[in-house]
Amino acid sequence: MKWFWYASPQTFYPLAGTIARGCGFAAALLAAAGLYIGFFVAPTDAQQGEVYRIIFIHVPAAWMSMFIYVVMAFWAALGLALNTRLSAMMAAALAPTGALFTFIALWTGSLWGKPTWGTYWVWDARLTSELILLFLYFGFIALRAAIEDPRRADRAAALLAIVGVVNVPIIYYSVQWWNTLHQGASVSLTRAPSMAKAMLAGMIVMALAFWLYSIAVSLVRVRCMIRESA
Amino acid sequence: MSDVYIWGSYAVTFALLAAEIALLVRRSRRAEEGNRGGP
Repeated sequence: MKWFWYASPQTFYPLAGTIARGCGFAAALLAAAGLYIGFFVAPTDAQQGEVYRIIFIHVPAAWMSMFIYVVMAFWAALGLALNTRLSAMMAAALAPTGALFTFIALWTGSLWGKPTWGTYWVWDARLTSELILLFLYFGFIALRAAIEDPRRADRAAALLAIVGVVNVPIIYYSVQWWNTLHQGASVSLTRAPSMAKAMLAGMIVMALAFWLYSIAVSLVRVRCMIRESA
Repeated sequence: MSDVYIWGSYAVTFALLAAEIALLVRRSRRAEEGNRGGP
């Protein structure tokens, strides 16, 4: 694989188009499969009833909100270290989608919280750190837009992205470090799943759909940026 | 009552994703129109 060949926006442009089309198509298929499993295959929860079906979008959206931020900070750091324009473009292209998934995680979480906890919102460590993540995304987008010189804008936004990445482990471990209303991790690599297989499958399939969707839209956005900067 | 919360979650999520796609398609078209010569 010629990594440095594709580091140039001009050579990356057609490759991004091909990957975006493939990922977009796969994301649509997986989202349809995830919805089918979530609504027709997964059983009703014994304690929460039907409202638990919100987790099929809430949990994958929350995973994506954190994962996209880490990937965004990685590209931003790479752009800062190597002064590569495409890395900064990748970071900038991921930010709106990351902010969108953070908002979706907060929105669906509050709609799940009302019937389950009796409230839409509490200033709980998990919820508050996730809200800070949304503000970090907004800050990144706003800072980049506020500086006219693209190189300076990329550098300033990269610093914010790198500093802000400290919030991701805080979100993840908040339920262990503090006494929170939010329950612990739904899925763990070290423990056997505590939910029915169909429930887990629905969540994993939807997470894959969101993941491929994020790749597709980010690459389309990068292609727009390359066109606009040419 | 739980239906309101479920549909409120799914409808808003997929509406936002569709809006992002629509905005990107529009931006993509504009970028292509503004730069016919290629990247």
